[in-house]
Amino acid sequence: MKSGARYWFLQMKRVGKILPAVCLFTLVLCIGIGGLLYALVAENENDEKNIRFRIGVVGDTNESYLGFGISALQTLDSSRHTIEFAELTETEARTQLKDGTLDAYIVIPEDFVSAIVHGEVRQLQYVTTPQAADFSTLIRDELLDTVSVMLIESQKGLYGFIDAVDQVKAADRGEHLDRLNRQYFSMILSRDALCEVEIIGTVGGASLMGSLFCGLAVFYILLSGISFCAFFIRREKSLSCILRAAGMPVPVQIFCEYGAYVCGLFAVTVLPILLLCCTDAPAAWIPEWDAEYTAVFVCSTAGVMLCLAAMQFCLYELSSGVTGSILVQFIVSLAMAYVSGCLYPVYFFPETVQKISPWLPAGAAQNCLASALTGENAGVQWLVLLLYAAVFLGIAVLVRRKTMTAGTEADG
Amino acid sequence: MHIDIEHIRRSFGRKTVLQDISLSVSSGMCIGILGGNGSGKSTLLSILAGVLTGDGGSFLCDGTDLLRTPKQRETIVGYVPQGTPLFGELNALDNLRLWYPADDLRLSLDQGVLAMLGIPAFLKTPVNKMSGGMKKRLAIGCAVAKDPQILLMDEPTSALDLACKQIVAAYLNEHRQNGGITLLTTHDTAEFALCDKLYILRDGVLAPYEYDGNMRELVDLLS
Repeated sequence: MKSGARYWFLQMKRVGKILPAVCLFTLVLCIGIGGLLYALVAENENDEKNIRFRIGVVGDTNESYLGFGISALQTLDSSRHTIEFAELTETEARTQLKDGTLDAYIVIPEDFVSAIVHGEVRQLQYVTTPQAADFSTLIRDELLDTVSVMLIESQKGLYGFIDAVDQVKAADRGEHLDRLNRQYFSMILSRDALCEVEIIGTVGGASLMGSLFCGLAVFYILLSGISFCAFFIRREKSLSCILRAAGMPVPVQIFCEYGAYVCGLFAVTVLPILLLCCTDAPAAWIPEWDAEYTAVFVCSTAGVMLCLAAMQFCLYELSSGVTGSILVQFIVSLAMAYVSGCLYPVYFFPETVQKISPWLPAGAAQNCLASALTGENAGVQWLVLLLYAAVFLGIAVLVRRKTMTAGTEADG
Repeated sequence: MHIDIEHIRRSFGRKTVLQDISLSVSSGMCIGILGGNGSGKSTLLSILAGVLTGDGGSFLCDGTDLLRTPKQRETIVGYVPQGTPLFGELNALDNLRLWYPADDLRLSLDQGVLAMLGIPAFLKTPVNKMSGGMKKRLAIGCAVAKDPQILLMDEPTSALDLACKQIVAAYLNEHRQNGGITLLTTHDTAEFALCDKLYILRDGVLAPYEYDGNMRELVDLLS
């Protein structure tokens, strides 16, 4: 195997020759994917700020209970994340509704509160536009539900207040009533305190950001293979024939070339990911990130890289010419990353695709990385990746043998 | 040393490229094989070199069938194909390192066959910056790393200038004087002078040929 070692060493030298160009390509790729990740993170963080509907309130809100109720909605109720209230005159409300700065407005009749106190109901008027009608209807129903809860529970609570007030001195009643009101409204409006929301996650138990991070890491490894095109295209095919005749079988050649390719790919994929993992960025973006698992995550990335490198190697053996090779790599990378959920959560796709996705190389790779993030067992995914690597390298050997025979036939 | 090529045959699909090729060569002889494009010359050499598998036949060297003893064939046979099986991005020294152990390489560059081929003059030149003559000399240098007794050369002087042709010819003469056997394919009448015997490969059959200077007859035979 001394000649095998020499062959591998020379293949490493070939990788070294093209590494500067590869690094430049991957730098551009890093900037692109980094920008995409940053945009996704920023978009996710801005969700609370941006997705708010603006509802106008028209009517006399100076009345203490009404004003207190609106204030409680804006500060205590769970709808405060999506709805912003603005106190306006009807003219202002109509104008803003027409120019789109308002999604809808509510008109509160003058005697609304006094009517309720006397046990009568006055209708609220909800005004919106046809364009905003659909989601505005959901908000309207949400608001009606909130107001109904407030009114109904408040009526019941009045009896409790009467008893509570009788026990307090007259001078302290005002302050006591305010305190009771604030407590009462916060109890009524804490509708979401009855249950705890747990988001199970999209891939391998990871959160949305976690699975996106893993998906983009897989996508980055897939695209990095394109930069090594020169390593494969410039390979002299007749040399393979000579080496085989000189006693270096095709599997040994493939293994040596694959080994050199993996070393190069490692330098431009796993190392940058390792550097990224050593910064504070993943902890800031990914809820389940734990610095203690950095080594596990990076090792998983290396393992994933081995499988994807085998796939890229096989594709290069199957394709010919610069244009053909680059196109094949790019199309397969993009299609596989897309269908495997690396770019979009897989639950957006039909059920059939969701079932196939984890069994594709990129899907299994993403699941492996996500499992490394969450600490779950990824035994099945590793088996799938190992099998894929073996199959791809096996295909590469068969294709190389066939190419050698065809090349010799063509020479006559 | 004596080689006997017996009943070598090869087909690609329905097309029979080699039918029952037989040939005997004694040590110190250089055999030239002529043939038109696609006549099977390269296929024959590929089979003898072990690059391609024949459909039948044997390649005996002093009674040992080299087609069935690859280990022995690797040490006895050197093959220079038509192309240049070299690493384009690397220089001559790196390419030679694939075939030569470190000590043998140094020795050969100083006073051996590599020195004779003039390779030290462009040792650090990347292959993709070499001329055709340099590449061919380097390819020969790589093929003879194990000092083979049998040389198989596919059009060794094609696209070479006169100076390079002379260098290759000088090497082949020395190889022959040392008792080595050379089988080469050629289109070049100038190479005929290097050969002790000529054969013409046509329609899958190998037949002896004597070149008397009649180019027209030769062209008719090859077409």
